[in-house]
Amino acid sequence: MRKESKRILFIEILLFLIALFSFIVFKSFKLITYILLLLGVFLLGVYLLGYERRNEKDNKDVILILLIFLLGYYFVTYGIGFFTGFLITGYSHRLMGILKNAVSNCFLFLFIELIRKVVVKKCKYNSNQLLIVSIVIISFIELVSVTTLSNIQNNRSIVEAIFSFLQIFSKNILLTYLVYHYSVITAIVYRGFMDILIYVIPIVPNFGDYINHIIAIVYPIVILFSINIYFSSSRKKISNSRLEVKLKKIRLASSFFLMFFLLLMVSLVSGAFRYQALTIGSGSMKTAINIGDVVIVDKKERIYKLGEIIAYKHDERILVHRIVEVTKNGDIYTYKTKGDNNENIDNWVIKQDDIIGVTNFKLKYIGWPTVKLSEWIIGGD
Amino acid sequence: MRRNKGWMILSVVALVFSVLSLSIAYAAMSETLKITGTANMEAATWKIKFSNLNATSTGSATYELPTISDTSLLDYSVTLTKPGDSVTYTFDVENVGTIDAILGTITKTSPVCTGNGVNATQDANIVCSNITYTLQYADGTIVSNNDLLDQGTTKSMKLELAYNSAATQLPVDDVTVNGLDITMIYNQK
Repeated sequence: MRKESKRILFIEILLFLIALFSFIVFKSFKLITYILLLLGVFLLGVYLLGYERRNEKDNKDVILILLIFLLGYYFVTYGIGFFTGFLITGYSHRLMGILKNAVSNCFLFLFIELIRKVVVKKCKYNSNQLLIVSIVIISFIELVSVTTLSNIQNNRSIVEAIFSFLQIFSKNILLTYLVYHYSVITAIVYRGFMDILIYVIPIVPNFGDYINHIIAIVYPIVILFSINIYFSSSRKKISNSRLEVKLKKIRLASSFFLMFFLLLMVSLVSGAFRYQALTIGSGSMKTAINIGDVVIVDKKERIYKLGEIIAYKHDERILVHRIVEVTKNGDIYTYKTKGDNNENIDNWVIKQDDIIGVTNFKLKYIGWPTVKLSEWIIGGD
Repeated sequence: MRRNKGWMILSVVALVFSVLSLSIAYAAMSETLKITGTANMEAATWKIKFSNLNATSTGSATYELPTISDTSLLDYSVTLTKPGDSVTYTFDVENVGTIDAILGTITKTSPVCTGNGVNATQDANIVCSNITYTLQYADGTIVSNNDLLDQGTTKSMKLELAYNSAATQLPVDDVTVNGLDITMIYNQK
């Protein structure tokens, strides 16, 4: 291993230990302590690895593209928010509170980006593995500013911490890409819009937790793709070789298939559109629907018929049972249901408003990971 | 890492892994996967029923007793002829099952008045703006969502229909009032 690689590894291990120490020891996150520790690591990094001042020639173009994406993000999401509604953020809305939050986090993100620059620019001449390790460790550093071990009290909070990590990791791939190929300024621009404005704007669009998480994961990757494709295509030599054209077509088809699959999955899981996927975790509908099956629910409102299998909300749960009784009282329809595998009819009446939709399609066993994870979460509560 | 390939592979892997795992975890956390099975419910019974129906009136109001079944009170009919007239139905709601119940939903529709004479619209407006109907417990507390009805307990309720005593206008002809429906749906607590 080269001497420089050893130094990069040393800085990364030091960062990891600081993050781990803070994660375990801090009962509540001490921002100022953390910032001072990161400042120390940055200075040590500059001493060991130096500070490269050279910037790439595409810097201004990249910042322009970033600004288009970031402003577009706010226009589109807040525009849609007028239809979906807004949520008030949990941060302080007093001027002093906003300034305190924004300024302290500015310092935190500034030092994280400066450390990234010192480490990542040197990785350019050393090892890809070190680069990937640095993305993971810097993501962990940032995770500690969101949660600490004292917040993790059950299996549910472990899963929530993993949610946070995935979002942070996705963002850090983009930020590392920007610093690696362009300059630290590009990463700071991104941070300013996506990580600091949240303390200033008191409302956020209400898309629900799932869609918000998905946007936070997907959007940085979309920006990375766009910048990568834009600059590589503007530099690429035109090639007419048949093999290359064929490979390009295969790559394009795979990309479209992947995009379609992910979009389909997100729309089904979120239930934002007409069809919603629900995982079955009980054997009450055996043998029509088994544990681990995923049913696709058609949410189109209508009067339901005897014998149809419906998904409905009851007592803060979602049940999937068969209609065994339909009662009409004026214009009001009520229903009674029963699980095929249950002996008794369910002891409650279901109103039309409680019904999510009717199930007429199922995918066998693909919901097993969800069932097992759900059992693990419930078991740890 | 090469400008194109390496970053693209890393991004795609991270994207697919993150979206897949997030979707699985979200489904596990948000959907309710425990469905009450037969074993838990066999020993329990579920029944809420109405009983002990009575009615009283004030002023010159007259009434007909509604049809009473275990689960509903249907087709009540009252005649209110002047301000201050009222009819009060009293009845018991009893949880004769073995499971505690909670009033999940109480739905009260708005009355619909239909005039029958030459001043039909005006008459209808006069009546609808002066008629009140309320559902209360015997002690005067308003019946509302999430009220408990534990197993083996009985609660007395009163349904009052009244013509506002402060009303200064009276309809010229008869007015039919429909839509005085109250639906109570009890769920397992």
